[in-house]
Amino acid sequence: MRLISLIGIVILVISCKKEKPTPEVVSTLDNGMLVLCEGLFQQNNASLSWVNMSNDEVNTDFFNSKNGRLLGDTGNDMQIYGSKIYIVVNNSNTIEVLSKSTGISVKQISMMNGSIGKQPRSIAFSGSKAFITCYDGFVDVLDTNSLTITQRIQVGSNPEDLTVSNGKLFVSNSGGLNSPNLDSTVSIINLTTLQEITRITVGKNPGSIEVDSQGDVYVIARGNYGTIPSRMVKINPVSNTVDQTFSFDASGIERMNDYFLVSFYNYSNQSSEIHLFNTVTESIENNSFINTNSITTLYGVKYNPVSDKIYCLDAMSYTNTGYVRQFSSTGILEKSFNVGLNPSKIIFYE
Amino acid sequence: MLKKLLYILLFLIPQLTFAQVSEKNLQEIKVSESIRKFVTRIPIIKRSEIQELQVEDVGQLLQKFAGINMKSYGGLGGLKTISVRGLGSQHTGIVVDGFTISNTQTGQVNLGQIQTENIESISLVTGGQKNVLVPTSAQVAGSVVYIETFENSFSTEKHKVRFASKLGSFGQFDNYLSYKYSLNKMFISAFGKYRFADGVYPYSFQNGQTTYSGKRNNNHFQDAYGGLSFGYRTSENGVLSINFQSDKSNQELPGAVILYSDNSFQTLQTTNNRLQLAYSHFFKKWSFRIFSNGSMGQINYTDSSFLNTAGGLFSNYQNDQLQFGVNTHHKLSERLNLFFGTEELMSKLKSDNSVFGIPVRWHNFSVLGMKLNLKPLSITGQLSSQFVQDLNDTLIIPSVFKMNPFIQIESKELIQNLNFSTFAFYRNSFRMPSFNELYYNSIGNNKLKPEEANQLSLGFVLNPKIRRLSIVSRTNCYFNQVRNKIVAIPTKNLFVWSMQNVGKVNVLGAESTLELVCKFNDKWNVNSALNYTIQIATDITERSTPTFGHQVAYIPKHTFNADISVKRKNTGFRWSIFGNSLRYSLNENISANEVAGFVISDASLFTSFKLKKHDVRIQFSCKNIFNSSYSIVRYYVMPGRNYLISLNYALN
Repeated sequence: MRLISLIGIVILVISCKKEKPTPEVVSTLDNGMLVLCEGLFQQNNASLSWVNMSNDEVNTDFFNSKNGRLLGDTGNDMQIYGSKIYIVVNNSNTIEVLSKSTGISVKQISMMNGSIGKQPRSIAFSGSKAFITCYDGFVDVLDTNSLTITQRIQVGSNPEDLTVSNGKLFVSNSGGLNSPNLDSTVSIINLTTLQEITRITVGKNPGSIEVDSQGDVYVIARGNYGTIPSRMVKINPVSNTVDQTFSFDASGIERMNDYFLVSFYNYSNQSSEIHLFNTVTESIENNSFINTNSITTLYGVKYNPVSDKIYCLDAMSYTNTGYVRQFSSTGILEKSFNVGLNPSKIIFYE
Repeated sequence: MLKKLLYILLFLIPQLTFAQVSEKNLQEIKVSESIRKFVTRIPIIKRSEIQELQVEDVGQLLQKFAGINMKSYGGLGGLKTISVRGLGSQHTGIVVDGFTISNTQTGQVNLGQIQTENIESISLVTGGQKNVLVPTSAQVAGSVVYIETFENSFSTEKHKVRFASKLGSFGQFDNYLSYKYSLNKMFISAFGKYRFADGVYPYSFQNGQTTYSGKRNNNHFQDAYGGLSFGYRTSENGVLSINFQSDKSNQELPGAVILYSDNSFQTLQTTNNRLQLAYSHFFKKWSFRIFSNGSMGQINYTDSSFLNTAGGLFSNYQNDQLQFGVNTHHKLSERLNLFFGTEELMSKLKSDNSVFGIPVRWHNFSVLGMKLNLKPLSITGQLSSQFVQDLNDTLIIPSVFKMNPFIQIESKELIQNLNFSTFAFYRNSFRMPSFNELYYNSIGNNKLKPEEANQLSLGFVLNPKIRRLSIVSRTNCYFNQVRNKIVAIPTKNLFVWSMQNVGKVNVLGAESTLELVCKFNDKWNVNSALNYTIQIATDITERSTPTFGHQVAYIPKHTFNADISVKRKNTGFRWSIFGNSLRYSLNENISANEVAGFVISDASLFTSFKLKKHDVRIQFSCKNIFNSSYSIVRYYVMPGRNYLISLNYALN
């Protein structure tokens, strides 16, 4: 009898789920930031966190509270263009297009090639077109008016990141899924003809790619996480040639006016560095611009040119929820916001 | 060197393959007297009940025991593993007919691919073993599941036949046939089994405020088993047994349901062959058992949607194991018994994946123990040692040598008419990292240390018989510690995870079982079994981390089973309920990681006819009768309401 009543209690415990109050969702987005949290592969837990800068409250379930459904699996990129936000959801094979002002989904674009997913990775824009790298070896062209894919441009294997400069699109071909036979090229596409002009060798496993204030293109060749180190490489966007390979370790680039914040996370000893790189003199000005002691796992860096603040994304242990850490432009820690799993991208609202 | 040569020689013998046998009958006769009293300590499920439960595999069957948390990825033949009292699945040994089944590549056995049709009994041992001549590798495990089968037992009848056929929802079809021929001193048996399922079941679950539904695709499954067994009594006291078993499976892997893109193209093919030999002899003062078994296993994995230049992933693995050992038991006096055992396990893994190497492992298990029978109590103590040496091509891995104690104190029946007895044990054990954890590409970490476990348990049993009512009540409380827990964390980038010894977990648990058998009269009887388990498994790895003190992922705080069977003569009805409280998909106990709790009910009707020696039985079941949408592992959705009809025939 005792046992039966015990089971009764258990059923009660199961049925009474605690509902935690979530911060109120704002209807029009301003004075805050939208943080894309990647989530974990095959767990459908990519999410958006809304950080309200007026009261420092965080809603970690923003996408769901606006759209009544989850974002999907592995949110890889998020960019703002015109009045819309584009989110690349890698393993769900979707591009979520949201209204910039409300965060409500305008369209979910399916990125399937027959029954096989294209595995979209990153997005960049030029004119009325968006360009999306797809791991199946293509860059997809999206018409931003009709929100339909109009064309596929073949590039190298497993293209990762892309950027626009001098009327050309620069695409880093990682070849990550062919490990240990990684790719080492950047595809250069003419934005008028939408055809690949050339493919240049930059170093093993190209990843993050960025343009500086003068239009020069920099790419990070991430090496093989072993014998070949991770290096930043400068590409001349006019001659389509490699200018220089820098000798410092690098894993990500964020533009800050005439500077780059070059971040490096060392997986072997879990330490991180943020270098201040002057893009005019093309040299490092400060090797440890930000004191990274407060950061467990540096997962990305974002600069807000309006407020002149630097935001470091901390993935913690990857399986715990992450933090966005706010630094002054001189590198002093000001605030930390607890967001979702593996925060990787930020959009700022003034 | 000699050891190595022998090993190479044995592996050169083409298609030397392996299986499972038992000499349990004889052992039972000889040792049963001392065991009987404590048998109630060990939960057991017998054939008649297994038939009524209509489970698909040993994984589902073990879910019926208290203290077990079964992890299922869904679908027929899909991966199922168990965690006993909060320890990882690799701490549990599986012994079928006196032989340990193991897999050094993955470190765990897929319980979804061990059949139940031929099981005579299954039991779960957490403390001291019920039999003194079990393999040493089982005696050193954190807990052991013992399975005894129809094919490997002596019989008094000349001809015995077993046949079972099942037809179920989602294109499931299952057939099993076994025949055993017995003479005075020997038996010979053969069996075959084939099953398949489409596995295309509909699902729907809550996605935010909307309902997400679809059909489970890429979930086809088929497998086939076959075996031959032979047993011979050399004299009144000796038993020889030989057994060969082969199985083959071909399955699609549906993976987790990925929102908005639910397509999987992964497949898995496996082939296993096992040959097992044993000889036992029982003298007046001592007994011994020698055995050898070997297995050859092949795994073929493909993913045609993998976006590399080769147009897919195609991997092939060959895992061969050879094992031999000896166990002895000495009766020094009426009160004092000694036991000793040693066992050598050799395993080797080859793959077409160059980054794996060719790991080879030599693993020795030894045990020395004693059992002291005093008037009020009996004390069992053992000290075991394990020596493990791995080699991988030119890579030399530091060897592991460890000694582990075990002690158990059992009281005799304290209150006679209640059959009340208590027992307590302490066990220190460990599990070796698997080849996958050590060597697989960049994920493996060859510096891994063994994962250690300490178990402290206190329990009591009540077994009163009140007129027509027979009651067995078992309660256990335990405190377990896991140290150097092997956990996957990203070490190179988010896509390259690697194994590290970082976790520390404490498990505080209690479980209670109540079995009632009531015979009202010659016609009516009621059987019921209830169990409830509470487990507080907390992550205590590091105080400064956000998950410190949180309930560990996928361990429910509350688990319960309730089964009731009402029979009138040979016709009856059974109702089963199984429930889990909410779990977390990751160690951080936040609402985003919640996996909802569930309560699942199954119901069935059955009837049987007996004609001389022929037994026919028909059963109809409705599973998940309330069509609950649930998953054990997040986004591995389980089937909704489904039906099963089965026909069993036995010639006894």
